Amino acid sequence: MNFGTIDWVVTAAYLLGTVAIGIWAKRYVENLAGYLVAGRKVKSSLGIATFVATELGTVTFVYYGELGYVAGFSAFIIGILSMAGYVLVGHTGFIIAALRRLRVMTIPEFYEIRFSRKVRLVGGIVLFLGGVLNMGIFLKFDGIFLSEVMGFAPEALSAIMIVMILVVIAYTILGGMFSIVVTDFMQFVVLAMGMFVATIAVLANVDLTAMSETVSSTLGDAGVDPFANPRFGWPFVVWILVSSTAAGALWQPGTSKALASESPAVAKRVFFWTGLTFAGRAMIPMFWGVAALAYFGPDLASSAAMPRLLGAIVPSGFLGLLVAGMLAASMSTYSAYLLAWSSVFARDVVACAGPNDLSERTTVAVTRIVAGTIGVFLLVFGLWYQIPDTAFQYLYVTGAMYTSGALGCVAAGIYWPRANSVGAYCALIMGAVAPAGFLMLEKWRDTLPHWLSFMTDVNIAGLLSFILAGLGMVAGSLWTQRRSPPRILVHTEEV
Amino acid sequence: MTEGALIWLILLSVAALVFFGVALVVSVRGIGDLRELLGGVRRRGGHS
Repeated sequence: MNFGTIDWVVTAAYLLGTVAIGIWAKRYVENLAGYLVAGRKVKSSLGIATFVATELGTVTFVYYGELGYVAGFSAFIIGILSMAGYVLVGHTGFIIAALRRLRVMTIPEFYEIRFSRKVRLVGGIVLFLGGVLNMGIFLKFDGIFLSEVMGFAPEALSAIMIVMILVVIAYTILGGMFSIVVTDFMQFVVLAMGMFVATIAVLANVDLTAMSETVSSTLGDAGVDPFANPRFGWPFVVWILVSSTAAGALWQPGTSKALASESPAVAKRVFFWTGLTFAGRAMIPMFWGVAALAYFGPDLASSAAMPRLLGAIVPSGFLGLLVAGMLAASMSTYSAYLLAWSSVFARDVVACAGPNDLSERTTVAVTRIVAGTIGVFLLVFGLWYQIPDTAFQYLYVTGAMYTSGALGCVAAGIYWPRANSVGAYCALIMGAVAPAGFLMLEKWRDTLPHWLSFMTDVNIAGLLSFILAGLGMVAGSLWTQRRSPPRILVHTEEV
Repeated sequence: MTEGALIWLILLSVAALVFFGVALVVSVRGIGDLRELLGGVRRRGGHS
């Protein structure tokens, strides 16, 4: 293990610097819009940097590295699909341009404008539950990465992760989106440098021909052909393409970057250019995972192999930069996610449970309390929960609990005049059924009757969630047009 | 090296070039955006 004194100095200096800057940025928060969407003043380059930083946490590297290790080059298809989904959203402005024009701060706000306040409450609850469950495994996977790279025992690592989440909670609670924009930018620069260093180290230490031969001998055709790989196949490809498009347009932590943009045109530009980086975002850590397969063979714990490789081959000094980059990645992701889910809870659940909106002061106070509570949940859930299948599939299936219903509601709400509140309820609830069913039923995989066993296939459950949500919206709306006439959508700001 | 691996490695090279290229441009231009964002708030809010 190469992690030495110089690496500790680099890592500690980075952490202290981030906290100081995050707390310093608090002075720029003028009001609620400043706290939640940075006053809607973020320009293209800054928007791209903060968006990439938000969507690249240490957990991202670990789950993509794990996929490279267990599935070889065929996992690279995910990078292409993610890029296609986000670029489509950025190029067309699908959903995001309309949301930015409406000047909403959270996705469920749209539900109230287009459907009803109760739909917003239900949508807020589904979004909050799906989002927090999705985030639940972040801390555990960060722990795996850091323990392998830095050479710690897992027990010590839990303590480090507690310190890290406390730091992030502190500056998220204090500074909101302004702090996040400032620290995310810094974190983007550091993590890009860390990724570059790691990639050079992998290329210098692991032969490309050896990678190809190991993949071929270990996985056969399944290592290069995603359709021949039993983990993937057509249902997986269709699900990930639809899911990436939905997540691109509607995943609150990312979409909040569009809503923080200076204008709808800037929001589209941010999504387009960020989308182009998404192939590299997935394929670079997968490449490290394939290198770990060639370097160690196929017998290591799948999530630990890639971090162990980096700990072994990245030289001391650069390893500190890499760890700082990974911490940067995690902190930016945690802060954006904490703010996103806590603001949804405050504005769309607590406030919508009553007849009137909360005051700005109360909203910020509730957001801060919920952000702290989510931090505690992450610690408990991360230590206790055993994920089914790969981390990647867990994250996508929990994400689908919300994105499938949201895609049905928001896409139909914007582009289909006949969409009504009954259709919205049906889409939200039916979209959440298949992923929730999978998470519960997979624990009893071996004892389920045969006719129900399809529900324990994560790819089928994920794809089914989008189909059910779409059907729910169409059928629910068409059957209740007279009883529940659709509202007309009025845009308040032009492109 | 197998043909399948070669194709994926070529795609990886393009994806990595785009990723690091965008990162470089955004890092340089983002500093200006950040200054403008914070400067704008300071002017309106009267922060020193």
